[in-house]
Amino acid sequence: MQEFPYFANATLDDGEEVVVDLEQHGWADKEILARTVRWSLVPKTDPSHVTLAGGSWPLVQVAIPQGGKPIFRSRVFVGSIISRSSDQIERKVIPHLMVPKFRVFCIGWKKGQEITWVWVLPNGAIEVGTDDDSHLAVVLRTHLNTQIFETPEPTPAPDSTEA
Amino acid sequence: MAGVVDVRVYTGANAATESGTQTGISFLSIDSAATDVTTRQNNPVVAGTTSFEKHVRLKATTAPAVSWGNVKFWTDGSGQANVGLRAKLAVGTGGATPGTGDTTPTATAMTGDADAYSYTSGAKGTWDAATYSAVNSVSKALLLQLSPTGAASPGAWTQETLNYSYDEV
Repeated sequence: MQEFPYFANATLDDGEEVVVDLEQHGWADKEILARTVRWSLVPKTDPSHVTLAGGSWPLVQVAIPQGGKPIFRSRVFVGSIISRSSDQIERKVIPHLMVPKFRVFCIGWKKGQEITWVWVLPNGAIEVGTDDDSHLAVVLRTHLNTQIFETPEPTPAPDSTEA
Repeated sequence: MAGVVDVRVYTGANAATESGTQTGISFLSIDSAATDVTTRQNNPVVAGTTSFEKHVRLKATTAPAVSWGNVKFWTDGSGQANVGLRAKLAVGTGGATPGTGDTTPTATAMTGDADAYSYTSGAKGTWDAATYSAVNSVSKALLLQLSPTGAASPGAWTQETLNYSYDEV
């Protein structure tokens, strides 16, 4: 899967800014996270990183309350096809099938039992909420339908029986 | 680099034989990870019987920066008339490939399972709540089984899409 379109930026309690590579092993430095007062997802400048809507990923920033711990998640949604032996499906879908997949990103903070999530959806929209992501399944289904039903049929081979 | 997690099917004794990366699943009357049309045509599931269980795990072929896990599973909530799809989640133990604690796939109706269509986007099933960090770590197993009644129409089954999600840190 393509690399993350984001890196993170942690503003520490003394004003120092720390850039965090979210794909680097061991990025979650406990001391840095404990001192973070502002936590940001900063889009990379690579033009290949675009949302499903074709736009740029938004910058997202949260203020960490005193005693809170910054959190980060990426969540991958995948649809996997169960095959059937229909000639139509075999011809239309299987040879062209790309497993529908997308990744959403989330930053927020946790303080005791209280958790605040800020989701960045695949289309670049931002939602503040809980861990409930049921709405994202709709995005996956739409994405899946687009990939399957808008896939052009292969050009039929010339009929060798024709005169 | 972002982690890479894909789907594997496990066959044989204790479901310990791992397939290559799967992009589809075929329900068969034999214990096989094959998804080609010939295998399906030669090993159909007869109405009134159950297919061999399909034992599925996720596998991290590239380790994430910190961890992956919190795997959820769901369907669109409905399927073809008289063709049941059964699911049993969080079977065995995840960890080093190929995982442990699974059973040998059979064509006997599963026990302790549930209607797969009861797992929807608003009520996802927990495939594996644990998190893993090592390369080649696998999740717990998801067992699936096709269960057509005797009244099921012959021929191809309506294509279904199974969905899953996982978290990566």
